[in-house]
Amino acid sequence: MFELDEQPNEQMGSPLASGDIPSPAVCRPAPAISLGELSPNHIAVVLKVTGEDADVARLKALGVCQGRQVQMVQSGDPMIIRVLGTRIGLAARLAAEVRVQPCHSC
Amino acid sequence: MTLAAPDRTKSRTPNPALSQHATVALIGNPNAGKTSLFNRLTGLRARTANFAGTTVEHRRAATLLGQRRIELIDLPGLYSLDAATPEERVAHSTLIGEATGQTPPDVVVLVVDATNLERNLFLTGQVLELQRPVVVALNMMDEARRGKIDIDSDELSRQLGCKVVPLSARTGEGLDELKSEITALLDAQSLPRVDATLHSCDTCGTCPYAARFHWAEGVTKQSVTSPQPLPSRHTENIDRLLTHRVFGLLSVGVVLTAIFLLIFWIAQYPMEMIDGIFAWAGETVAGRLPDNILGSLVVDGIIPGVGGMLIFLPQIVILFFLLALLEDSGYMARAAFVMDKLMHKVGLPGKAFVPMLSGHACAIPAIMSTRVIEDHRDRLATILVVPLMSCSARVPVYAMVAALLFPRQPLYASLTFVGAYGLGIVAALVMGFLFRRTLLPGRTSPLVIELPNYRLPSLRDALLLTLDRAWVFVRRAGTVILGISIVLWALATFPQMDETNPPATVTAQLSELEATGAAADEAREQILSRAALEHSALGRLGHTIEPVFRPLGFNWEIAVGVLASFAAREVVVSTLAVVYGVGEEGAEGDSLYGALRSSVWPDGTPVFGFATCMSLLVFFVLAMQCLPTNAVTRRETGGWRWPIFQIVYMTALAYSAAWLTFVIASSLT
Ligand SMILES: Nc1nc2c(ncn2[C@@H]2O[C@H](COP(=O)(O)OP(=O)(O)O)[C@@H](O)[C@H]2O)c(=O)[nH]1
Ligand SMILES: [Mg+2]
Repeated sequence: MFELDEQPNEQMGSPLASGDIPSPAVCRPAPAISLGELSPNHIAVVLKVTGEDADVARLKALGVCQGRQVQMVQSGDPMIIRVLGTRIGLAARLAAEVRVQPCHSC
Repeated sequence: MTLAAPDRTKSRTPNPALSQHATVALIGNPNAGKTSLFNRLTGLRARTANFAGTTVEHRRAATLLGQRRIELIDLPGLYSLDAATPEERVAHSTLIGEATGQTPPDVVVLVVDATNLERNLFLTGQVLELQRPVVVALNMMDEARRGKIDIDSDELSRQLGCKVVPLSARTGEGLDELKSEITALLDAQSLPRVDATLHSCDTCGTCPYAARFHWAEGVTKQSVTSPQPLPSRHTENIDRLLTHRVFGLLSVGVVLTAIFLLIFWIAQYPMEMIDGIFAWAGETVAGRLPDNILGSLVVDGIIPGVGGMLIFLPQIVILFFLLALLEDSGYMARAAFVMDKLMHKVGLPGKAFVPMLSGHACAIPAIMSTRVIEDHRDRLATILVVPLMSCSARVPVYAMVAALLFPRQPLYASLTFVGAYGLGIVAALVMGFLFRRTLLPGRTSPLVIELPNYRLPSLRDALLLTLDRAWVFVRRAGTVILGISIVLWALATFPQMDETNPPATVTAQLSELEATGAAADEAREQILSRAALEHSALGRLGHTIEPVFRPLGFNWEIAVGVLASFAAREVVVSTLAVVYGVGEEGAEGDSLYGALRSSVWPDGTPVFGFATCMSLLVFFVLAMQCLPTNAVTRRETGGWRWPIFQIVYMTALAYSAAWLTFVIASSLT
């Protein structure tokens, strides 16, 4: 069951790492959740970002878009996430627009 | 000026603009180091300018590159070219040469943060696709080396299809290489060879962002041996405190209290000096100039007018400087982060917090600093309410009212101040909320903000920015104040009273004075100047509009003060001093307060009773009496519509609140 050949899994398999992500090999897929629900220090892969307005576009340009890895640094509203090595402060309302697939045991 | 060297490549690149004023534009992510690099390349010669037809500001400077004169432009920082904010639109249109009155830059210097390559490559991809002559300035190499990030710049250059120069704007390494690459590009404009994979990504679906990041990931993997951008440990540790739900708010409080203490404490010395200089200048000039209309224009109009504006310059400069340092260090983003939730309760974004706080020193820098707010409505709502904050020009008025109400009760006097500041804050929040509900409807845009690594701010860059902004202030405020002080002086001077033949009441007063036999030269002067003012257009205007201000408990003297302070509120104190005939010198001393206290209505009740004082205080807290601020609002909103609205709504608010205060306070006493 770890060998899902869906796209997100493939992305996770790539050795692209942000922050202190341990070897991706130990990442196991879990049910998709919204970014705001990710627990502190956990890492996830972005599946989809819904919404089209300027704020969503800004979020995507910062790296929160399909296929990128994000890490929750501090949850809450607003929360802090890390993506591509950068810390980003983010309102919960926007985080709710981001579907992610967490990597457990990371 | 050096003439351009004979351009041997001109035949190859038939670009007529090239030989003389080639333009070079710096572009890159916010915090990539564009401004630092710009300052390194130009120094003090830069000037701040607006892009034609917009309120977007940028810095440009003419500088020498080898033998060549070039115009260097510092474009606004941006994460992508997808034209969402005015800044992005302007940067984009400048790059492709669509901006009004601009040709596209001859060379684009793409500033890339080496410690954060992958994220920066997103914009890089977009810029490369524009097919302009590009050189990549791989900045922050000093920090990358410390973080053990090993970048193969030759490989990166191959991947990007353009020249890559590793450098550090902090230490200055690599700057010469950058200059010679720019020169080479100016000589022979080669365009970047864009990698086909920039557009192709099988796994990315239809999301154009995903495709670009996929490409950026590939490029990074090829050229960086330690691709993990290491999170900065000390940033993480500091942020654990500064973005904490409770301690974060406390720290904002501490930092801002410190800023205001510094502003008011340090600024008092230069302020006293400026005050002294202008007083001295007034006296000296008065001694030299003939005692006629022209002399009076200079001595009573221009010098005190300009001095009254410049006296606030130290506070403004210190505020600008501290804000620049905080901005550079990375703290501002944290303040916006921490305040976001609270600010959202009144419909404003967290980024509006710092401008609203700065408004307590002066609305002008505060309005300029609203540029960090991306959303147009959020920004406009913030600009509209910022002048409700009690700026330092209101302090003399508060001090006067506190002294009148509670002469020997420091506790109550300070409570008066607290109340006035509190009223301003509450009014700003309430009005902000109302504007977001009515005039500027829509949801407040949710927070998305990069929390950059903390860095030791560069004093040099902060000073340059401060000088720039201070100059903008002096130019804007200076011209307005100069014009207004001339108008005010004229209104207070003409028509002139015939001093040899004054009206009967004045003659009576004068003979009364003589009867007492006192050393009466000064007193005589005061009676005459008061009479002259009453005779002037301003005095007559005061009498005419007195009925308008009667409901607020103001007599014609206060009405004159209100009129005179239309351009700058602190003028009210010195105007009252003139109207009450204690002379300009009396404005600070007890003589003014004594005169005010003893002034009575025709029925014998004191004018400056509790009710009138309170209503005067409320009026000055809420009224928009600062033309320089209006000028800046016009500049930042790009038209007269909003500054006029600002005057109208604030005056209406001030009037009704003062009236209500007067009615309630009268019924209490
Ligand atoms: N260590 C280091 N810091 C730099 C360098 N260039 C800029 N900085 C710092 O990075 C921060 C952002 O720089 P700035 O020029 O304001 O970036 P801009 O937003 O692109 O204009 C400031 O704190 C600078 O002092 C560099 O080469 N090395
Ligand atoms: Mg800058």
